[in-house]
Amino acid sequence: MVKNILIAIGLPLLAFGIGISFMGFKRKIGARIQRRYGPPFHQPLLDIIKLLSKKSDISHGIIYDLGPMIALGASILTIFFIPIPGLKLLTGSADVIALLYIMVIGSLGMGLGAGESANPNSSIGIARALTLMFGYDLPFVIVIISVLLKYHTTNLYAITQAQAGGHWAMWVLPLSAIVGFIVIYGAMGEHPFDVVTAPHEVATGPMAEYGGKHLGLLFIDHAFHVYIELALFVDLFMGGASNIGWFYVKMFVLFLIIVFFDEVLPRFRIDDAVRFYWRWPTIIALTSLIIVLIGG
Amino acid sequence: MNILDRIKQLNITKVNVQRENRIFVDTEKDKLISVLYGMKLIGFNQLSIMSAVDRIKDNEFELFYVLYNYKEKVNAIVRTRIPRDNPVIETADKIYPPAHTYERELTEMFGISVSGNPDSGKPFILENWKDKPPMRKDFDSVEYVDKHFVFRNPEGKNE
Amino acid sequence: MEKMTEQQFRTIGNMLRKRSLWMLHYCTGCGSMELPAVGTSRYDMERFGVVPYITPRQADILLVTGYVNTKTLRRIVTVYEQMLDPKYVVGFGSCPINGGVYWDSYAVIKQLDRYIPVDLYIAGCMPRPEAIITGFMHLMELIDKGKATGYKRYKENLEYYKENQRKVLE
Repeated sequence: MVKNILIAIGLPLLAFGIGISFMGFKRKIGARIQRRYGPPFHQPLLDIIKLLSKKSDISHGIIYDLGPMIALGASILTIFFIPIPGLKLLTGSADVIALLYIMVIGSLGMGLGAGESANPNSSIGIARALTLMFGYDLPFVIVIISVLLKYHTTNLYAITQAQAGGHWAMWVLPLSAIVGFIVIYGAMGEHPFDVVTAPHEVATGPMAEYGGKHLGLLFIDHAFHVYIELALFVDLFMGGASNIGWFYVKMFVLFLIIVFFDEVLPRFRIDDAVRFYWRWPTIIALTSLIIVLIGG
Repeated sequence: MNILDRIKQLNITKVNVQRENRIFVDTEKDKLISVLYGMKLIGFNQLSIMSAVDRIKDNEFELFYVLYNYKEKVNAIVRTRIPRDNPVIETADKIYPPAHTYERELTEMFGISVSGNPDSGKPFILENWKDKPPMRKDFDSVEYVDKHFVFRNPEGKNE
Repeated sequence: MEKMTEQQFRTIGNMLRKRSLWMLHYCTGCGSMELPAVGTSRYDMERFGVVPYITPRQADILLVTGYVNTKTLRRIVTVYEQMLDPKYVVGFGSCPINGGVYWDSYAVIKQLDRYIPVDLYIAGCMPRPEAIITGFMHLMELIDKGKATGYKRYKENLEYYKENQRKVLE
């Protein structure tokens, strides 16, 4: 009982720590790529503390207040579905499919909340977020299906176990892994798919009307989000890990590659982004699926 | 027939070639619209800018329309004078649509009313302006500033 | 005792808060041209946690860069009132201080601090990027000492500020 409570508190904290460290790394690495010194590593933490310490006496309604909490709650729920080394909580058969559904709740929560603020920029941002989700979910689902068919299981933990001993799905299903990698960009809102929060087009989109504590919650949610996407990719394609340090290293390498691309790429328009996702990643994912079906 | 000859056939009082590619065309107030129409027919398709100058000594406003001919690459400036006491002009926005906005500015900045332009009296740049039109030369800016704004006390003591 | 704890809490809050200042640059006039230089590689202001943000709800600093028309003053007041506490205003260049070269203009207000509370002025026409960074450091110092209390002053002297605003806006 006590152990369960400890895990329930500890796992989100761990995920938050990992996510926030990656956010700090991202700003530092980005600054170094632009030949700047850059902020300190703990800058995102300072930002969140500052945001939470601000006075937020402006509200646009109940759903506006609840929106960030729905997003945060969905993210925390997702964390319990993802197995990390030495800990598998909500694993069972078909948990990958459940995960696919739960990951959508966050975006919907944010959409509901931002929608009530009645800011036109927020509305455009939400429309973009949901459209982009249509875009990257199609190849992502195909990728998941091919992985599930390959390992004949719908259990995420079993998939990581099946890759033990260096037989990573990345090497077995390289095409699917590439598509999964591209999908991360859309899911994390990195360049070139940062159409949702594009500051110069829609004034940070859904967050336009959020400030203070609400925005702090959304930042915490973003930290969780970074963790979820990376951990899911590591579990699906990079074979999980035997201990938490190795897990972190794998996530870090993956994140480093993502940041390098993110810092040098420009931004797609929303229609181009969706068109891109429905063209090449979908074709590559389908090819991979056919290879799995034929070759087994 | 070159452009100058064609301009001379219009209802103008004086034409003056200031330098190459720059023609000053003077006309009377009543014939302004017909001259502008004629200029458009000659090929001056663009109204670059239109504004006014307050000739306070003559008690007149001098209006000018800067036109441009893309084909010949010639600037033409059509000028006319209107009395300062009763400044009313006719709109040119049927000939040059950009004139619509310039005329609104003219009304606000000079107090020249434009007949035929429905938006001429509407507020444009200045908000809640109650004084004289600010671009008139008898508007004293310093006096207005002294009346409306407070300068910083050099000793750094504010009331 | 309780008061002491609250004071300590506030001190710690200020210490952390000063390292993360998001600014909304209200780009009037020419001052906004200096900010790209301050933000990019050469004078990287992100070192100190100063980052430009887009909407007034998210920002902590309102940076008024250059002259303020009576027309823009109306927007500045709206933007300032939309921001969330604690918020700071930085007047930038000589125009918000005393009108600058527009001292005799009918459209430009002469002292920004009569209309909204200004925590810090950065003088110069235009201030160099070094001056801007020094200004931000000074603002951090003020926040650390708890002296940047413009938002409190605005609430306490609301009548005074509103009266002045009314005088030029209506």
